[in-house]
Amino acid sequence: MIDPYETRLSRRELVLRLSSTGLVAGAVGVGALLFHDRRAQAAGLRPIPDWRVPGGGSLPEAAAAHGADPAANLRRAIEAVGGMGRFVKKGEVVVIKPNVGWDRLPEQAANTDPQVVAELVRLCRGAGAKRVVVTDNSCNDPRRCFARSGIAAAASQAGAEIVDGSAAVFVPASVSGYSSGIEVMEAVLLADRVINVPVVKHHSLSRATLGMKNWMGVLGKGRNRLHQSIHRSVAELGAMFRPTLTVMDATRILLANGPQGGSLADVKTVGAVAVGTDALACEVWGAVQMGLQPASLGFITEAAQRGIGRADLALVKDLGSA
Amino acid sequence: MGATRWPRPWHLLFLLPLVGVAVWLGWRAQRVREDPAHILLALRAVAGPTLPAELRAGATRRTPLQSYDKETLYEFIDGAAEAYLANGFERCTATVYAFADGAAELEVAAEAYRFGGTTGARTQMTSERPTDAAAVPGLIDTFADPSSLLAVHNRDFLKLTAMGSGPAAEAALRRVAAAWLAEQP
Amino acid sequence: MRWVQRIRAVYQGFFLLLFLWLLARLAAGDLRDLPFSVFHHADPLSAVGLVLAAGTLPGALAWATLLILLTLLFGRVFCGWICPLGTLQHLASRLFSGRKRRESQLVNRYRRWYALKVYILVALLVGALLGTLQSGWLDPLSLTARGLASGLWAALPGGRLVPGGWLAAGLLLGILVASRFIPRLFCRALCPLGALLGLFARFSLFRIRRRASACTDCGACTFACQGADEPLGSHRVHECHVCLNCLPACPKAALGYAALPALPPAPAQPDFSRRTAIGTAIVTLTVGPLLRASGGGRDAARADLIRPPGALPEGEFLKQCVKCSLCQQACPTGALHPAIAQAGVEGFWSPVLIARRGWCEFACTRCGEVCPTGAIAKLTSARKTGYDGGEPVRIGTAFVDRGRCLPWAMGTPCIVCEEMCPTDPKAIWFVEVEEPGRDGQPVRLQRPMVDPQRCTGCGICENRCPVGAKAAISISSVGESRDPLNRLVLPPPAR
Repeated sequence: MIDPYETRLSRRELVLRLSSTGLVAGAVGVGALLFHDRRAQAAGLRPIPDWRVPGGGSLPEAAAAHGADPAANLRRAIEAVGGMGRFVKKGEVVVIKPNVGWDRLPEQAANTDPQVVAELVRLCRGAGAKRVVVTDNSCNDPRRCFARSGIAAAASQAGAEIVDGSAAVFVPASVSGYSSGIEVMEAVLLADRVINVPVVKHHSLSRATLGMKNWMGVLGKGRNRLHQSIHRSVAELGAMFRPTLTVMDATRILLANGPQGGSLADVKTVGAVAVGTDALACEVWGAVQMGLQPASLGFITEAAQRGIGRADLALVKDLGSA
Repeated sequence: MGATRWPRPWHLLFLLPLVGVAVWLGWRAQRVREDPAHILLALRAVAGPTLPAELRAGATRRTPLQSYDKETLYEFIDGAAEAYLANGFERCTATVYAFADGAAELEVAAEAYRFGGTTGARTQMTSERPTDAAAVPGLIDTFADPSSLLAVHNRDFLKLTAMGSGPAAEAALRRVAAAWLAEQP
Repeated sequence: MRWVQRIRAVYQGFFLLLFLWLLARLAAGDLRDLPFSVFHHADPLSAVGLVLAAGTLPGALAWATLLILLTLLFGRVFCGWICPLGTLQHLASRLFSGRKRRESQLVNRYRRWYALKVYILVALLVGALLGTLQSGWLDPLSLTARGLASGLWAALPGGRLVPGGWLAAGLLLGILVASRFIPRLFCRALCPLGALLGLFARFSLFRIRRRASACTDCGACTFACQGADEPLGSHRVHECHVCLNCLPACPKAALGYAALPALPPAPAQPDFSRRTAIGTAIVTLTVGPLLRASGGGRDAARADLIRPPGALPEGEFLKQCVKCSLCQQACPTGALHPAIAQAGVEGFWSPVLIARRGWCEFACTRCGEVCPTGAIAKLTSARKTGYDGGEPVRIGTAFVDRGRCLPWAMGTPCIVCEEMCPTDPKAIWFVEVEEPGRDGQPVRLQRPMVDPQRCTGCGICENRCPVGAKAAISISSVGESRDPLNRLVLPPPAR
């Protein structure tokens, strides 16, 4: 056997070995340079869009309709503020944000009336929306809330996609003030148009929960901290989330033991729906339906100070009964 | 087995890296890590614009500190307060240092103004800077002419006026400014 | 011994003494700006682990590239000339076993199971890719630092006892005792850093060169071989520690250390089984996520897991902590201790603050200053205390146990916690009452209340609370700055 040790190193092998060493050294050096002090790509905070539609000219800021049929009330009120075509254009993605917080039946008035939600979905689809998503981050078990409130059945029959709290994706967003650090539902941030559909209810801490407080349903973990300063937190939410439309559902309202309720004795059938572009005006209207003085509600005065809208009941045009 | 051989002198070259490490260590051992006293600088700086004590500034004495805020600034600098307030003035501290120069005493009036932001402080300094003021070598953002000195650090604007001129005055101005800058966090 | 061995001995002694001295100075709280973490900064295993796990190579770890380049030039000189654990084992084998025992061909022959360290390395690197950095368990520098400072030295008079320190000491002692049976067994069979350097050593320029024409196969070169790399026949450059003991041992002077010698023939059986490596990788992929699930998972905020100030959020922290224990040595009050169960299996031996043993001194930033990998970020005192105008860095919040607190439960005045609270204004305030004592005489009591918007969780209140065993005021991790979800109260309104 030829002893390889006796032979001198060929030039080829020399070059091969030197270059392989050099290659490894180069790779190490390049790797070190590339990774040196390289912070992980900051995900970046997602901005919160402003979903409002520009001026309506002579159209009222809000309108309220009374009647036995909630769907008809909704249709009349929306016609009065310009028709759905003013707000939803063909091919847009619309997110409808009702209050589906609690595992309650529609009669218990803890969630938005399913007929109102379903009619809203139909109107959006009629205006040409590509996708209509109905979503909320419920407090109780998401599937039960959507099922027992009747909203899942009614909305999907009308052609909407249901995204409940278990399916929703939450992302860091540029929320400021007390809500900073809390994540927001991605589906809402990606929408072209967002319609806030709260139900008018009593709330044991803030005395009433209306439209601005409904935005807590788009927040993720940590939102329960906001109760520590509820009025200011709610007003901040109202300032950050500016929907295309606010649909204040007063078909049935909860007058006591809110926000969860439970007893039918606390429910009052009012049979009215208000629709508006001025969120604060709708808020005031909702408070009046409950028999409360709007100025006595801390979150309304805070919101007025922030210039979210005008806390003026006169802005809401009363369409009366059909 | 190879017999034990005495190391050749050139073998000791291999120990050079160790010598290098030892030298580097010695150099590092000269330094002290972050002086715990630095935290006091930050604490004092938060409370308001500071002016160095007389010994730090090389002066023999100084008058008790006077403070003025947005409302009382007029009492101190009269009409000039308008410009200060427009630039975001918050509060200021003032004193007079005395430098013993034989029998005579050289006085240096010192005022430190705090503004809302560094832009305000710089704008104020630029507006007051005399055209013949030259940058002071060795001190950042400091400009001096024969009898006055202006400096800016973060939100604070330092204004020194010497009651007199000449090399003694210029040295005194420099010393106060250097002491002031050294005290800022 | 020839001159080259003498020089090597000087290097080994120098670096061992340097390592020990720096560690001792750190534990003593030396005020000088000594480079306490210099050994860990140059550790290629930490560097590679961090790049894989965290995708970043923080600051000073770039020095590791120097060590890699040194290995690409000269082979595993780190193992033979620099590594303090290697030197300790070398000394241990000289101490515990006689020359006849430790210098024998039988003891120093290569064994196939020495490839274990390569599989350990594979497991560590795959684990790092999965997002958990466990190299600290077997990294020789972390191991030695822990074993000495947390383990053996704690037993010396004046030493600070560390819970679980006996584990670290035991591991170190076990490794040293193993050298009695097979010299440098840890280096040969277990060290993942050695395995990593071995990978680079395969490309090294300088290696052992054997002149076959002069070699008589006597085997004298293997007697004192430190790396068990068998210089005669198939020399394994990835095992060679470049101790150069073989050079003077050869009676025919057939061995030399030179640049780019001819490659020796490959060993009869390959040392390293690709199948076992892939198998290790697969097992790690399966078992790795289980580590993260231990203790409730990484996402669950743990009330008793109080990390040092400046620590990264938990997920990132576990990708960068190499469990070197330098922070624990640096802490002037002895507040930081190795986690046993608080951080799950993943976080075993990472630093946690145990307030009953030590508190976080208000303006102190030592831990971040010495952390070699940036798992604890460097802070300035002005930033940490909030004296720069921003919010102070919080590591938790104090909670008063009214059932144990003297003024609350026992009608006895105390005020120690409020007295010790370092924040300005203090995070502990009083509700004053006058209550009749047992004898009917009124007693003025100042009952402590914690202000969660001021409390930084430093733990001095818990540390100084006179109620023994379980303090009447204790720290929970809730409210820590590094986790925006682990919060108790709303932030104070913007000033």
